[in-house]
Amino acid sequence: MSDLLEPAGQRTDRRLERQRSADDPNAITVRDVTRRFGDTVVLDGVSFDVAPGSFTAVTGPSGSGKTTLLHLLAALDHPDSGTIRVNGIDVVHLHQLTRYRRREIGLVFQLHNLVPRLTAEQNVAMALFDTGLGARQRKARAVDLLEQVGLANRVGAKPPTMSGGERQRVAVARALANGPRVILADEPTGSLDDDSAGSVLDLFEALRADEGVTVLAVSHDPRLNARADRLLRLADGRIAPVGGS
Amino acid sequence: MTFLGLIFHNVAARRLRAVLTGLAVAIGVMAVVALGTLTLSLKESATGILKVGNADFTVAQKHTDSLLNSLISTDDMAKVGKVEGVGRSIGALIELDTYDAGHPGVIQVGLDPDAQDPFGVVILQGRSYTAKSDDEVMLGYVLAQSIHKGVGDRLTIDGHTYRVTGTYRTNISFGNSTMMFPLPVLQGRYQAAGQVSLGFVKVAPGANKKAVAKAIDRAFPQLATVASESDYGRVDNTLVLISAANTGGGILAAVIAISGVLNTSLLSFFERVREFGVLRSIGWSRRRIIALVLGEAVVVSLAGAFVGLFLGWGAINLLQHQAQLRGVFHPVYDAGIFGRSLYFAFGVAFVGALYPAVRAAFLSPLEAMRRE
Ligand SMILES: Nc1ncnc2c1ncn2[C@@H]1O[C@H](COP(=O)(O)OP(=O)(O)OP(=O)(O)O)[C@@H](O)[C@H]1O
Ligand SMILES: [Mg+2]
Repeated sequence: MSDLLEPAGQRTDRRLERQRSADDPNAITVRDVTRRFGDTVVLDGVSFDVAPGSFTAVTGPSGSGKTTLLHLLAALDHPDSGTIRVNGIDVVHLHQLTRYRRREIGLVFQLHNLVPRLTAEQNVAMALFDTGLGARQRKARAVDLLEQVGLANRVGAKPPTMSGGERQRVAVARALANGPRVILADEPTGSLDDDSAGSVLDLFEALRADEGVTVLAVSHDPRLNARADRLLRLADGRIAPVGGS
Repeated sequence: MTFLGLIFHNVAARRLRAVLTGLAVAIGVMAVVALGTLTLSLKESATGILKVGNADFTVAQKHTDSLLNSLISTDDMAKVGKVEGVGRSIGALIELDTYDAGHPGVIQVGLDPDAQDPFGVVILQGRSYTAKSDDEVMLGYVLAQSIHKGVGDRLTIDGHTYRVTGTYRTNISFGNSTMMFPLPVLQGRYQAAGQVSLGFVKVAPGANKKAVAKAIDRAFPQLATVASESDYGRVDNTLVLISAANTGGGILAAVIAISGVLNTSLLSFFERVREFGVLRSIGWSRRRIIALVLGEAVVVSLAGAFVGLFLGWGAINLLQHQAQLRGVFHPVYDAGIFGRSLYFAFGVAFVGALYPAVRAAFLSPLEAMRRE
């Protein structure tokens, strides 16, 4: 596991570093975030912190805004108000969005979102462009990552020929490609059988334990929620710890 | 996988579409190559006449649409010969006629025997016709081969029969596809007594060519001097028309090829919206997305251009064997045409794929991924 997070040949990015504030101890800090779609208030003053190296699960009924929240954290969407900091970077006012997505976070989508034409290895390698690695190094790292997620024998397979669990693990490998400190996952186990779900969760567990990677997964999968350090529940636009006040 | 490898991979994934798009570009390049070579060659043929006998300039009748229709009186030619600074001036009558079905447009030149040498005519076989004979002809060696006639043979043109006294070559290539008669013979057959088509002037040693040409232009308002290709339009607008046809054809070819590329790029854009969204969300820059879409178009376009060069070359060969063009069209292959095809391919790819590329790059990743 140790080489999973070796920095992928990237130099530090000054413009991105300038946005990072040193005095935020949290991996993720969300304050009073509001997101509306027309008249529908999906997130209504959401606030929470996520400690570095923790595994947090966000649950909630369908349509409660879990995916919306994740998109905000990934800087794929903008809040109407509030602040979001990831790794100390103010995501709301950030201009280097591409760099942020490439270097700070790893995204695992609700649907695996792989390119069907490309092999597993090529799909993972797609995330390694613009990192300073040559084609061979990209390939080597992609193969490495696939081995780490238990797909050593599926490196040359294309997504249409893979099982749901295999695809989702390819997606996880791709999210890990640039050695992000934070993994954002949307229902990563929702469509998987117990074995596959177990292997993805083991992977998150290992990342957290060995590398101190922060994992935030949106899910109403009890299997996932059971493995998380902390469970947050999103409902009626608000977030609260499950069982807490 | 290198970025270029990815581009090839994506193109190969839609092979049939790539082939069809490449074909559109190939047809465009073929048109550009064929038309360009045809234009260049016809221009060379036409302006080659300016170089007859190393003349400094040609004199023709003003305001004719074609050099072949130019008429100058031999009196005027004699007066031109006396203009200050003129070293020597030769008049030649030029008439076009059908020899046989395979040679529908043979250029006949009427020229005095003693004007042959300054005209640049070199006798290869036999001898010249005599000034007074009315049944003698000489053949350019290319024409002689083409109509299978040699010294001593008889040939009939325009209802008259002549004996071949010799074959010749000239310093300009299309001159080798002409036939030559004593001047009065041709004047008689075409009711052009006392007239020639063109005058060829060589200035006296030390005289200023431009000044002499200007003096002639001033002294003979009905005549025009032609010293360069750019003067050519003063006496013949054929080149202007050919150039215009070339430009028009080129634009048409570009439009066809661009529509092909645009169509394909748009199709693949709509099919891959989701993919572009994913790539953006895993950290692809806009620039890289644009490079991907443009790159795919360039690869297809370049392959098409390569095929188009061969098609164009084939088309030129076909044209060359067209009876209507025989003797007039001597392909001049120009290295520039290769460069122009490359420009064409890049230009077509860029213009055709720019809009889809920019759209792909500026998609909102979320909206893109929401599409199925
Ligand atoms: N772009 C959008 N425009 C309008 N409404 C939207 C948009 N995105 C999300 N919504 C709405 O916001 C609400 C929350 O959606 P979201 O996808 O975040 O829910 P979710 O908690 O992830 O649900 P699920 O568990 O079903 O995935 C839904 O009512 C959805 O219709
Ligand atoms: Mg969702």
